[in-house]
Amino acid sequence: MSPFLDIYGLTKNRDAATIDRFLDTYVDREASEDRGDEELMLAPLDDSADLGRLEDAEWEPALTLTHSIERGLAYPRRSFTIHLKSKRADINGVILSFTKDDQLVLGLYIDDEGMWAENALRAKALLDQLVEHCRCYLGWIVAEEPPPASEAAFRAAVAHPVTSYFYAADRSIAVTLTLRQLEVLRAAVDRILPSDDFSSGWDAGVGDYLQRQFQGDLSGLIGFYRVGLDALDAEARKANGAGFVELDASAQDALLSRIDRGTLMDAPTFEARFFRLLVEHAMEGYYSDPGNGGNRDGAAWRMIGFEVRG
Amino acid sequence: MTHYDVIIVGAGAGGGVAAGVLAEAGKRVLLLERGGWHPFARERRDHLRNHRLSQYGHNTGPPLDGNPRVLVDRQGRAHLRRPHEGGYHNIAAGVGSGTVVYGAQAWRFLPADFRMAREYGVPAGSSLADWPLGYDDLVPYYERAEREIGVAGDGDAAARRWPAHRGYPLPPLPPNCQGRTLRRGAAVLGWETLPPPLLINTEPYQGRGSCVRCQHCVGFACPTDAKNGTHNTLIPRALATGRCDLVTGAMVARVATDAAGRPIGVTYFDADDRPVEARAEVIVLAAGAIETARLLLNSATAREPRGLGNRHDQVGRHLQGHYYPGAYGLFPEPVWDGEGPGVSIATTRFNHGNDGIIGGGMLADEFIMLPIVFWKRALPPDLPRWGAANKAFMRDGYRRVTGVKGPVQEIPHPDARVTLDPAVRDRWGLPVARLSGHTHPETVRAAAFIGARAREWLAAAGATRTWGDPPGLHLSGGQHQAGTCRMGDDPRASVVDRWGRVHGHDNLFVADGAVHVTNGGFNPVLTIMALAFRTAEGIARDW
Repeated sequence: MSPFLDIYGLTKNRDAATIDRFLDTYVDREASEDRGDEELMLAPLDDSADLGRLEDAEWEPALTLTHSIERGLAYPRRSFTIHLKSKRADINGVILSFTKDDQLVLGLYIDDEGMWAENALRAKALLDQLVEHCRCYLGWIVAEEPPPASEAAFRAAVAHPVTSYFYAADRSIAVTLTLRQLEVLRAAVDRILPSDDFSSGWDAGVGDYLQRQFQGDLSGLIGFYRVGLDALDAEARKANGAGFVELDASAQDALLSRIDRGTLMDAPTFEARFFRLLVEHAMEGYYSDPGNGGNRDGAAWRMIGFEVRG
Repeated sequence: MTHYDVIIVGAGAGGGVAAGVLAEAGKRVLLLERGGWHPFARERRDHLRNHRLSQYGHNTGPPLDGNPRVLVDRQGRAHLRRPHEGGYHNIAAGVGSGTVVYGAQAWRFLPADFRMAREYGVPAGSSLADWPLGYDDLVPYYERAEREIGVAGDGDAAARRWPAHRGYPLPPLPPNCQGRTLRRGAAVLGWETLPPPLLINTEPYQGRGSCVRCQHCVGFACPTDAKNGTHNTLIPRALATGRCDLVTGAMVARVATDAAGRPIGVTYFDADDRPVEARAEVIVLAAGAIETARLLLNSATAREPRGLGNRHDQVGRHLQGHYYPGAYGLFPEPVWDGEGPGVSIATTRFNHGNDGIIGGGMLADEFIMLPIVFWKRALPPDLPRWGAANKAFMRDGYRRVTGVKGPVQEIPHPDARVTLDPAVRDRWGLPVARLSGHTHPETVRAAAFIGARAREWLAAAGATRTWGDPPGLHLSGGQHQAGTCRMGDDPRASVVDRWGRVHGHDNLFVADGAVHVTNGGFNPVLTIMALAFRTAEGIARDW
């Protein structure tokens, strides 16, 4: 079974209006109202207590969604989480969580089928909407982690390297790239193989190729990629004052050309070595067989006229 | 312990032929192969893991882990190499070995290829030598290989080039678009050409169907089993006698010897890594030029402390393969029609008689290039490696570019060699092959000359521009590896005699490319097969 991607926003507005706006936007309220026999698991206030230990928690009947919300609003240090039905086809479920420091975690989750890079980017778009719509001040996307029960816990979670995408099917080797790194990667791939009459590199599945390779042949290069993508972004900021993603295409090309030519004592710079390797990998994803995860539907082969017959 | 008449180490081009001949001659044969079967249905078509582009692996054995070699560079630094990495000089491990995944070019060597020293003299620093036998000695065995494994070609054209050539059992494929284009260029230049003889069924033959002209020939198993190798000819024939046991997953550790140092069998590790002793009257090594040399070196005895058959420090020396110079050309019109295998026209005009050059080589057009191989190897050097211009060239150029290249006869160097690494062991604890040295500079000169002829041909055919890398000095071996147990009459300067028998041992033979004194300016597989027919026939006849 493929895992879900959880999308969390943290807001200080623990009030009825914010909750209503959130529920109205994302939740099928009618289907979510009756809580049946569900009980709310109230987190202990002692920070050292283990949230996962059921016997440390207190429990009370949830009754209805309206009742549960009332309890959460009446007791600012009471922390519990309820799972709600989504009313949007592109969102699999909704999470409303009260923290023990009088804040709210608003959550959405989507099916990460195939664990493609596309899903992470879709999650990022949903987080952007959520943050703006419900005035969240921190955001986090992660594969199947419970919502943090306080701002401190939320900040610690975001800072933790598990805050990112391209994680492997085997959760023990989890994560590789942060969202920012992923965005830089996508932008760079789409300059290496820009869109014209035919698909760009990313649109043709180079990200999906890399995702697969990061779980296999290229797993040893994840660290190199992280540092390399950060360096590329840093070069952009140094030269243009804006990150790589924020530059327009011609400025991105100019920067990449400069990086590509970069030498230090007659040897390619670190950034040049990273970029040239990225070029190789992007081309592998674009032009090799679709069985390797990229070249979606053989688009690159159609472009150049390579036909498989027999 | 089971006792056989013959143990053959390696089920490739040479070992497979030897197994068929000896089993049909009534011998009980144990054929040991470290790899397994590689049918198309299992190997499929991974463009990044095959024998054309082994970027992250390949589609045969040996496994990437546990089978390292050590490569010593020109500065004397040692590098650990895995089987799919550059400098490993891999040959497919599996039943049929390279004959499963090769491009199947089936060239005879020319008479002059067997007497290079006499024709050209021996350049300083080279170990160039004549073979102890000549083309005429091999003719009947070339014929057997062509007939019994199955070669398609133009017999009339071949008869104009090779003495005593009586044609092929199968007709050639018609030239594809690139071949027709290059034929026009050759006509302009006045060069005679011929379709490259191929070990491919162009018609149903020996119970199997014909080529469907797919785009994945070289580097891959054949989807219709129309590519002829030992895995679908001589090895099945050997097995059909009921007298041949084929054991796959068998890694031979050493040639077993008695107290007097006489070979009595082999010790091998089976697929479950259990050591097994096997005994036979005769042992035939056909593990490829690098592994055969390694096996002899790993089988030292009190009588031969530097390795079996190595009293004169010849085992492992003269390692050679082929420099493969060539060029690409961009044409105004498409030259790609996708009709595989791709290679469809060749010239042998430059194999000999080139002013100031020792030897030379055959030139032929490229196999159908996989798109990622095209991107990695065939783009003009001044084209940006990325961005809009690169993508546009791929889009507009893929069908308008073709290549011409060919194997150049190598001038052997005694220090291009296989030794045992003093430190690195494989997963069975056996010292691994350590590869060092480089070819003779005359090889590089010949390669530069042939590369220039490739450009000349492309330009005459209408290419608006041509490009190709100049050759440098390096070690050669790879899929055409040869020379490490060279054949000769003088035991001080060779490892085996003219019958493939290791000097000083009446029951130990070598039947792979290792015995080649020189490797011709051609793909060597037909010569490996012909010699294996001859060597195996000699074993059967004498006993």
